[in-house]
Amino acid sequence: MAQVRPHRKGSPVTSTRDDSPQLTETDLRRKLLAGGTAALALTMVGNRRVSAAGLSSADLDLLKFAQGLELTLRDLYDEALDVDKGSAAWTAMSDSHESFAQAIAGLSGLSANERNEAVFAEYRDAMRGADRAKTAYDLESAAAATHIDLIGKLSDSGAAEVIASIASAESRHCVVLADVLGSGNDLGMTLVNSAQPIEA
Amino acid sequence: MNTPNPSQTPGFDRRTLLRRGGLTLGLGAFLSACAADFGGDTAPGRVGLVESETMLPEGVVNDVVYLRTMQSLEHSVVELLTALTASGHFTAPQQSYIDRFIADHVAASDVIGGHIAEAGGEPFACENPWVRSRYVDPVLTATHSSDDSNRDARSAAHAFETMLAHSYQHLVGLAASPAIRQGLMALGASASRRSALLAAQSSGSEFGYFGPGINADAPETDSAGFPVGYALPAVFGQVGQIALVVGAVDDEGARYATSLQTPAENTFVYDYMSC
Repeated sequence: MAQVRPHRKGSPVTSTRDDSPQLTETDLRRKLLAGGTAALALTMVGNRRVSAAGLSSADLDLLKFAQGLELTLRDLYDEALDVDKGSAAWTAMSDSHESFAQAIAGLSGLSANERNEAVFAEYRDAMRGADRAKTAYDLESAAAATHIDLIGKLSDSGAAEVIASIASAESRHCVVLADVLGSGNDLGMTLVNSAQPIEA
Repeated sequence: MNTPNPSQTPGFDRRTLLRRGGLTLGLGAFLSACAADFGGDTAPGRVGLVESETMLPEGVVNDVVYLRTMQSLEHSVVELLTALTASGHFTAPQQSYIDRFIADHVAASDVIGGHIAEAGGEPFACENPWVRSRYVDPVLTATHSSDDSNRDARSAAHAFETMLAHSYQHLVGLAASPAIRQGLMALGASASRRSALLAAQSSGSEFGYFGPGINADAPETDSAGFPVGYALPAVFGQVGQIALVVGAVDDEGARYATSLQTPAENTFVYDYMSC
């Protein structure tokens, strides 16, 4: 191993005897190739991974979470639809959340195939129960709050725009569900979202 | 023997004349080019006392401009609803919504003012001048003279609330700061709720909640040609134009019709604008 010798002030920079290894042309090419490969590998596995859509890994994680939540709501509405067979409202809501998940898939390249099991398990029985419309209202409120929260974390404006269009629709879902519940005149239910975001 | 030619004066023949003329012109051009600049206005003279044109300042579009624009739109809706209220166009139950809406818009303006101050801008807590002249004034005029002012007041309130919802959502895609995007959409969600509430109350019982974007059988307009508002007009939140028809039928058999739009360069409240 070559030793690094200190450069003494006043002495010539060049040494009469150079102990450092000499690089042949073949060695240099090999080292350049190795360095390039390492840099490429670091880019692929590093923290700042970039998707084909140009989204950062942090944005992809947030979108994956949002997509899972949409698939969960779709499946929960399907549970309600299993009770109220043929319900146009539950069908429209389920289809809407499927569309939201697919929109995120189109934006990010993430496959829409993984729901949030914890949220599904938490709400499944309630969505099959007598208060399923109120449960749906609560779910939509939480989903809208979650998406608005995500908008503040997403760095990509295009991703934020898609999530905003979903949050807008889910806010409207809340009003429809409040009206279905007979609370269409309750301005607290229709105009105010007091739900907390679901934590990623 | 040489005979002198009387027509040729020695030293001043045609050739000499041309030569001296060319030299004179060349020397004049040379001296003009080398002449000193003595200053003075070289612009063409003007006739009359009319002032010359004033160029608009260069407007820079940034997050503060987006926020100021939305703050102005909140005030535009306040002005519209206040004027409709003052004219008594709403029923008592409707008025309870409208009063709440006005309070919410004023509160939203305060929230936006806070965002603007945080971003280092100057709040614009007054209505949008372009929206006033293009939308608010014509709609109010038509509604005041309408054959059904209550119908038109409801339609106008719904259209303007929808315009706000679309505008907030639209600007989320334009704003640079994630925090400002979030602030915009929090208010946009509230506007969506107000729009949906008015639609559900106005036409939900007759036309249902789901618009043509979800239910292919849902009509765009009613039998009289008025646009139908839906609580859920489409699967996703929209950013397009909002059709509004108000007023009495005129001599040509038509009513006043307009399309409300999301903000653009002509609607933006630039930093050089003040209330």
